[in-house]
Amino acid sequence: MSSTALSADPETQLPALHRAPVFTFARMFNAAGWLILGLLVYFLIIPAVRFGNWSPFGALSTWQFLWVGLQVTLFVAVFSVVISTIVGFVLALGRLSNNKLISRLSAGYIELMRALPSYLIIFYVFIVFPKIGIKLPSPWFAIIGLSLYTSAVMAEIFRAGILSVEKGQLEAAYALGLKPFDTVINIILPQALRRMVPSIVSQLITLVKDTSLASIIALQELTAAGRQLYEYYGQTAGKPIVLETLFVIASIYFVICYILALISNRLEIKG
Amino acid sequence: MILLAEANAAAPAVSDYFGSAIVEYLPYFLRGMLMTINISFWAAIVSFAIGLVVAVLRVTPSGGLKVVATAFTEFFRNTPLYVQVLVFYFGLPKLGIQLKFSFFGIEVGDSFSAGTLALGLYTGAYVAEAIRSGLLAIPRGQGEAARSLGLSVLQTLRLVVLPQAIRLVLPPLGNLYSAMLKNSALLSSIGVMDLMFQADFVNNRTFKTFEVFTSVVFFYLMLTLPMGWFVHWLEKKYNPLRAKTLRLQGARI
Repeated sequence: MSSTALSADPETQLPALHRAPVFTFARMFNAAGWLILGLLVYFLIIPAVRFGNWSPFGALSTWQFLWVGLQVTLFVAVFSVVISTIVGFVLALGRLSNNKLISRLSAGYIELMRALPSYLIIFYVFIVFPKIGIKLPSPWFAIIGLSLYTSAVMAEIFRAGILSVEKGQLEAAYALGLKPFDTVINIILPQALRRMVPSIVSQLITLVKDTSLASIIALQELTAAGRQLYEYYGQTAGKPIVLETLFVIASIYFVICYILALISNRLEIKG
Repeated sequence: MILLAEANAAAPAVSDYFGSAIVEYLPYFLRGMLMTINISFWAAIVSFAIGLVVAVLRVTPSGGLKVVATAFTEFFRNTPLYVQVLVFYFGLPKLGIQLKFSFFGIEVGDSFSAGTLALGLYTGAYVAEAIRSGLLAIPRGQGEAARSLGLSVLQTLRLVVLPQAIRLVLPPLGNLYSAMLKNSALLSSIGVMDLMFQADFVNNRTFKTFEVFTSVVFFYLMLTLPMGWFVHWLEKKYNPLRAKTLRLQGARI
């Protein structure tokens, strides 16, 4: 800059005594941020693409193998969602019921399941149920285990949603002569549902992720398929593909969960 | 699948009455509980540090760091914890990164450090989201006033904005950490000798499946219920009016 502090600004004709500093904290911080991003891309992503053994993922059979696993994951997730939504709704109504016994029982179940790790519940179903004589295909054990946990969380979401509707709505419905069941279905739920959607969808995301827990025990789903894939390639000759496979698996989960999260955000803005 | 540890080799003989497995193997369960608490503690420290940094980076005007921080949270929140555990336990050694090290003379096994890292980063992404929502809830004027009073950027964050934001999100943070304690159960799959691992071990020893896993339910309740009461107390103390909605958000993890 050739202009001195005493030269006049061409537009305002006023002496420019103070010029804003070029190297501010914010600019340097911003530059450092882009530098770090560049370094990450240069030292992590480019080597991963160049030196990773991606050739198994060019074959159709690999994707067919993963697709079989993904089908089980989706099957378990969809059935668990349906079952736990229905059971959760019943439990929520039970907890809000005026009958002390029903209310206590539902509350006890909800608090018990929410306090336990979902892995323990799935483990329990897989290990203990066959011992006491219940025999089912393993996806159904996973569905039962996941539903036991998710229904309790869903019940809490439904309960909080129902309680968030103003009391006047309920009183007005009763005053108009609606029965309790009709009141809940026609008056309370439509209002509560809108507020519950974000929580329900984030629980859905948790559920999709939790299906991978069942693979630790016995279920042949996406994560198990991936594990078998890299173990198989590790035994046969060739470069190991552990990280590559895990990256692919993680990406598949990511796409499913991220789409759900985007839907949730959209509904949240609308509602 | 779940490895038997050599450390558990000298196990007591089992006599046969209902609950005998629990009584005779009680030290194993207690050791498992201590390990669950231990790994949760370290993962909590990792996750809070990560969460704090990432949350601040996500609200700063730095473009590059924002991209990095957002990618971090979105990746760790939208992939299963188990896949992340596999990445840290089986994947990193393939890159030549050794997770076995000695810390002040204490040997830290690779399953412990991989588990702590995976659990810490996974929870850290959620912690970052919670703290970020707290930061966004603080009025802009607070930061601007602090800056105009002559505080530096870091001082503004440390003394004015962050204390308010964290106070605001304490109840959801409590929920996250009680969820993290529960999530630590799956680290038994890579050989962290926590409560779940010991339960599987005792089950393989005694074949008293029903007794063992039902008692493990109670052991976990002994850990998670006090945590839940603590979170409830936090909600009541800091945000009695919003306690209901925060409970809703607590179902996130």
